[in-house]
Amino acid sequence: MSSALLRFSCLAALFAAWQFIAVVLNDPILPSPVAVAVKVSEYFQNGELPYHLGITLLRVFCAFFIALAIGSFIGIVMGESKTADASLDGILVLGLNIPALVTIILCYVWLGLTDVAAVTAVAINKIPTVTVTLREGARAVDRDLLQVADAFRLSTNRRLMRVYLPQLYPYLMAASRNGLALIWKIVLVVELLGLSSGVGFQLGTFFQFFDITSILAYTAAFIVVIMSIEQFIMRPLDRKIAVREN
Amino acid sequence: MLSVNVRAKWFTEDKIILKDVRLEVKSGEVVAITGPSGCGKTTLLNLIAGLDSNFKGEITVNGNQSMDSLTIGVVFQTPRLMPWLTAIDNLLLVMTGDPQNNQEICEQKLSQTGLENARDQYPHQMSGGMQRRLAMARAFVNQPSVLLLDEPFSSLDVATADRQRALLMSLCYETKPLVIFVTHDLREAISISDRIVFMSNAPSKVRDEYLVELQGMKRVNDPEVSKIHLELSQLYEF
Repeated sequence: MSSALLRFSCLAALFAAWQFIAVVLNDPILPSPVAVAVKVSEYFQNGELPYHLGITLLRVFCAFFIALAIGSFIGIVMGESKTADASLDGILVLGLNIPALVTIILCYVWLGLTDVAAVTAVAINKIPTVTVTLREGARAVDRDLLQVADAFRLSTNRRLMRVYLPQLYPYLMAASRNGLALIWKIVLVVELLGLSSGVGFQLGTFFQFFDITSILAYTAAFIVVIMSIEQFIMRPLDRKIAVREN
Repeated sequence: MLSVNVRAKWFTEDKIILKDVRLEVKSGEVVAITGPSGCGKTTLLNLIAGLDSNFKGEITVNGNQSMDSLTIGVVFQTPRLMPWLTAIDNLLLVMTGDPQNNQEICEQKLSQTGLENARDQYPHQMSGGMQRRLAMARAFVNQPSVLLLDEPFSSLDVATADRQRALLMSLCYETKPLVIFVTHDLREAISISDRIVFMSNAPSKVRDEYLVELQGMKRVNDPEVSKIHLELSQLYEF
């Protein structure tokens, strides 16, 4: 049996079991997958789901790119310079160990209950992990290949873009995949705690009404979007890099 | 004319590797540098290539020009190809000038090195010999006036190394670059160079020089090469 078929079979079995238990229990705390699907369709048609989903995705991507840019820069500097590594290592360890919740609360207190605070809080939570990954990448850069660039007098731009950065792509890819997986979860918490829009905010509202069907409908829609990004963007990119890197 | 005057090159304060190394190489000349292991042959080549500027002395061309004014081709001990680039992209990477013209030159070099069918292959899809030929082609794409080679045929079997040496000499025939060739293999030095420079143990300096007066390139097991090899190996033990 192919792995795709196996994966599909397991998922189908899970949904079948869920449907069976929901029908047997017949309790609003466990709605059936069919009921959830109907709710998704309903929220999609009235425009509520696309609106909140869109806002959450925008926050996810803003935080993701900010964390990736800043974390990569710091990571590369730390990987290349022993002085920078020694100076910033303490702060990095501190950043890795501060609970996400603390960062979120502090950003809301200092910057107000705004989108800027939310994105900042999420980015701050993710920057240290990106930094660690890219620092390892910069340390692993093959100096022999850089020597080729020097020997053939390559321009700074060509040396950076064609020789240095390609060696970091697998690490950037790892940081991106881990980053996306972590960031969307934190964004939901951030929205739940202090914003008035987004999937996290909606989940909080539904929780207050014990509306489990709506909670699962929003969760399902969001997971489908994130899994699609993983399936159609991240994996093909990863495969492309893996082929080139052998 | 390339003039090398390295007064001192050190790794640590108490470990001087090169001391008072003086060497002059004429345009079109093929010079082999040989000597005992660890005497600083590769270090000297790195200084000439401009890969290491931490030394006392100067390396100049035609009296007072710096090495940066020349086009240099380098072949390292290992091919050092970019694994994420195809064969042709590995060549294009190091090229300067008109892209359209570059493409043609690269195709030509691939053809000369027998790699025309590997044009779009990545290094990991090529054999070790093909990778070395590609590294050789890369050294020649810019028509270098100085070619630096650091034991490019070490770890190859005799037949393959012979073929690679023949390829090197055929590529050199076109542009006639000044060639500095580091090798620990005395037979190899005799077979392809015009002059052999013998280095001493570290702190190393030029111990002696030998003019090879053979007509054209010879195979390493050629009787004439063997005769000179016997003569030299009695004089220089390393």
